[in-house]
Amino acid sequence: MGMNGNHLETLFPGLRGSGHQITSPPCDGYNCIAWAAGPANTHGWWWPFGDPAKTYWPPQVPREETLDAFRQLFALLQYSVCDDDALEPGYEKVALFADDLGVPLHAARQLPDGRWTSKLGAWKTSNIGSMTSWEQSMVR
Amino acid sequence: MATAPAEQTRDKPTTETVEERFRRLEAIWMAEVGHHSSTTKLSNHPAFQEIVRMGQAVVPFLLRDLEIRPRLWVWALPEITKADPVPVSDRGNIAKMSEAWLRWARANGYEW
Repeated sequence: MGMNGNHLETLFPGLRGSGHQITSPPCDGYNCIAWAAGPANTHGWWWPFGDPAKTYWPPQVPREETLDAFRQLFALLQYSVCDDDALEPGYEKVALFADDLGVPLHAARQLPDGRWTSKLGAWKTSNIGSMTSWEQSMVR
Repeated sequence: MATAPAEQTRDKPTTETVEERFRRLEAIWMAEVGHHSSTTKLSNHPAFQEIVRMGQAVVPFLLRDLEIRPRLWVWALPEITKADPVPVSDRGNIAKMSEAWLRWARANGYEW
């Protein structure tokens, strides 16, 4: 079961013309948060809210669907808050996306070449050239 | 996110088999919320809930899918069977959860 590129661009119009590439087949095994936390995390569905029997979430971080909880998660993984999405050699950046109420929706991780990689739920992983494409798509 | 109303596509022929109904609901579920990471958005979706309400009849199809690759059906199986075979240490690890459910199903006489 999977979505093709056209379906992706219908749901996320900001991807149109962005040169995004699908880089993995559909997979239920991990989600965007796990993938943003590192390419080795392909066996976990990381999410704080809902039935704790269904998901992974570090016990040191509140199981709250808030940006603060997600920031605490990435702080636990040695990330700190930065000013922008510009590529800085030697640093790996993660972007968190939330809705108008501040409820987290998604995360993406910057690759060493400046592109961003992201896993869409149980769909595919894709790489895109700029954060603007995601912002146009995810932040509304 | 823009999604098509599920109700428009959920009408089905009365001759639909269990598998056809399951696959139709799966397709709706994935198309409408499959891109989300939120467990509440995924688990509370009407198509997912309708799969759960199909009860024991759908379990062999869920297990068949789990044998192919890890699937989020590990979230539906506890609601249907009321069992909880996943060790606490494996919670959230969809691959290990899938394996635990397959072991449990074999031990409990399920065939798929």
